[in-house]
Amino acid sequence: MRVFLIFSIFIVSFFSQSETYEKLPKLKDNQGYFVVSYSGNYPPYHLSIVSNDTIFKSQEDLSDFKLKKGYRVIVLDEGEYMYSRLKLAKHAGYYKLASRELLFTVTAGKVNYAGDLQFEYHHYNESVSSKVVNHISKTYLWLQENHPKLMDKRKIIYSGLGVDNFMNFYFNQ
Amino acid sequence: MKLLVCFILFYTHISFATSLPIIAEFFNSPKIKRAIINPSGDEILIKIRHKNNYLLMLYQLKSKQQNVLFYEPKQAEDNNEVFDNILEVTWVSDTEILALLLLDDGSYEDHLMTFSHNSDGTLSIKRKKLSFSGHLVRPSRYYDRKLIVTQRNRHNGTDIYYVDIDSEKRSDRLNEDLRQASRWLMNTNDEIKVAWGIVENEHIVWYRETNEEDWATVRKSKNTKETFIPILITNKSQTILVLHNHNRDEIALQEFDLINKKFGKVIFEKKGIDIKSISLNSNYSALASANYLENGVLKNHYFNDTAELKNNTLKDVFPNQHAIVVSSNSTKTQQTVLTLNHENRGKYFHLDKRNNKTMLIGSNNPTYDVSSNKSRIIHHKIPTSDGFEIESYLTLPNNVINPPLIVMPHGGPIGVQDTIYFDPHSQLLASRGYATLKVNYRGSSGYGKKFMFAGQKQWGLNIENDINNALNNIIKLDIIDQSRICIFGSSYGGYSALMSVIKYPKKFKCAISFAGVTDIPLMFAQDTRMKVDAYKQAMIDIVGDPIKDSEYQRHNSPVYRYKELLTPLLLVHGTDDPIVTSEHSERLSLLLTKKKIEHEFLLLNGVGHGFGSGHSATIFYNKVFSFLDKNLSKKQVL
Repeated sequence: MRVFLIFSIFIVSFFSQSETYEKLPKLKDNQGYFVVSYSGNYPPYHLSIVSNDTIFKSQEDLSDFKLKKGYRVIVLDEGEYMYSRLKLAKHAGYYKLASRELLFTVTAGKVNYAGDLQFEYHHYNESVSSKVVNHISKTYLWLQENHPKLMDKRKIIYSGLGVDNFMNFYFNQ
Repeated sequence: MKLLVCFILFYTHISFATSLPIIAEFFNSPKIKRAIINPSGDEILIKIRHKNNYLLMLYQLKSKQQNVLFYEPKQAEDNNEVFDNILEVTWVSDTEILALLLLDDGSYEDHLMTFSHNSDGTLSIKRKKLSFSGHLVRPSRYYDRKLIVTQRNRHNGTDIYYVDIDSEKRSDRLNEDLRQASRWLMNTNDEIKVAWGIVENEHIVWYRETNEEDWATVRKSKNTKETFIPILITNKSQTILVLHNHNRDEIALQEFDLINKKFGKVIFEKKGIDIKSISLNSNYSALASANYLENGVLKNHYFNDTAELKNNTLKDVFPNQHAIVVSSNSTKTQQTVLTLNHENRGKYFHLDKRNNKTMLIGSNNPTYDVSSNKSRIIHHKIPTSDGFEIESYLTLPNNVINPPLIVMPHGGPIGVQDTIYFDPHSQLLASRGYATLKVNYRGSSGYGKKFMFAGQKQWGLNIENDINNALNNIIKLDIIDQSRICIFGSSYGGYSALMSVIKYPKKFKCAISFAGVTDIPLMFAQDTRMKVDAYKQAMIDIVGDPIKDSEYQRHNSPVYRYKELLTPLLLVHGTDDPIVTSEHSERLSLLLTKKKIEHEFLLLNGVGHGFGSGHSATIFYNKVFSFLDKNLSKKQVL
């Protein structure tokens, strides 16, 4: 079993909704874009992604973030990751997300999408449940609208649980 | 606390003979969910919908006095949906009712409501939250004022307790150290002798003769195609009756020797038909009837003359209806009865058995004039080339000659069975002049396991052949307009609609897929459910392995055959569908749009794998009727 080191937690940096393709950082040879798509019954404050061998740090304070659902495009080194922890308010603690279910990979040079992270905070036992659901078509349309140049230049691939080659089929039609 | 009677709750039947029925009424939550009579037989407790919640009402048979016993409005997440916060309700005595209430945060509480009638017609009510947690099974048959309660435990099983109603004290676990079982069989003394449950994907049955003995494992099976349900502890030593299909095709009722682990005498079986359930007598001590579906109709086989006589009386009192006794008073002279048939979604009656007089408590039917919209059902059977028989039910609208036909394959595809009983879709479509055809294709339940599992890996193949053959049979009767046929289904039915217009493009003028699967490989990359091994294996059994059977899966996926989808098409999907995610319809629409293939796509915000409210059903059917008007309106010459 792969051991995920505690110090390797990094906080995903979120870009604003109105950003354009030009504002996305350029990729290094070993990097890919990763689309963070999330929805929940509360706006997330921090979302942690864990890698087994890399440390990233928060690049943006998300304490004023108010949306319950949305997309962000971030840059990650190629490799294997998983959604790890979720924080819903500045002074609240982190909730551990299910681990094995939320694994994904990042391929260099591609726009990687691993499914929508859907979470729900439960008041009665103060817990968070989560799952990942594949909505790549909807994500593709969002990217086309919000990052058209990115979509002109690079292909979106599914990099989550299981194998889904639909987008490849779509692009070849 | 006193509550005044503030409104008349009894549902009145309003006639809209000249106008179209209201769509929402076919799909709304039932108006009445429970109607149970008290031990004395002079008062009925009714759980009735009021606005977007349910309330509990007491109805005194003699004075016809109605009083609200419990009403706590709660807001559903969706304003249009009904929030039912009364999970269970039962009489404890003539003045006490136990209710399991769902709270806002998703937890639940047991409440004991004690009431008395005041001389001014009001009700005095005391409500006490009981300190135990768990689900009420029933009051004990052995001890007065004790309840049998179950609670899930951390061993993935269920513990079972007595709870004393007055002291609220919980007994020690009746199951003692057996924590993995989830179901239990008790004898008439409330002693648990048989238990069963699933442990690491294995169905296990345990037995002990006396409470002093350790539990012994009497049966283990990993065969997911088998049914084995203990029903009754018999008078014969160490023998129980089970509903099962071990080493046989149909589910039958048979003796099972717990020591020798062998099956004994067959108590009841029906060739080619699974027994669906067994009814016991009111003491749960002897068999009353075996229940099964024959030609889509619920039938009962009675094990004694008294039970049969009782049923014949019900048949006389409620002709042309399937009547079910919901509750009886302690002397069995007063009952509440639920009636059903293809046009009747459910009517509750009070039946005075001393003179067979009935009183309608309430109806769950849409408020349109059934008599002027009367539909009829034609039952058909056709043989298949490989030795099966396929049943179908054609619903014909009233006063329409050669109506257009909507073929409606059911979901599943494995383990689902259509019947003749009230289906809101068929009845709504019939009220608008459309005939509907429902087909129990291979894979459907109720006809034995060979038939049911013959549907595995037949997506787009023999299942759709069965539906097509059933349709051909109906066309031959010349009672529907074969130039105006559309196919519409939900879930697997939606998939089947898409594959049917690919396979038989000339037969259908249009297709409607609601929550339909469009991409079989996507089912293995759809969401995190696939991380559960048992779920993944069940999916592999049904549609094959995503790697080994990838060619079969792609060839039978509408997405990868989208170029053949040239029949007018309506795709509808709920954004919150947790079973077949909206990605299925979204990706098909994405492809069709890219290649400029005409289709309509409606995404229903907040809707799941079915309609949670009449509101969402109305949005859906407004679209469907406009689509059908466009594609089936004109009679065409073939």
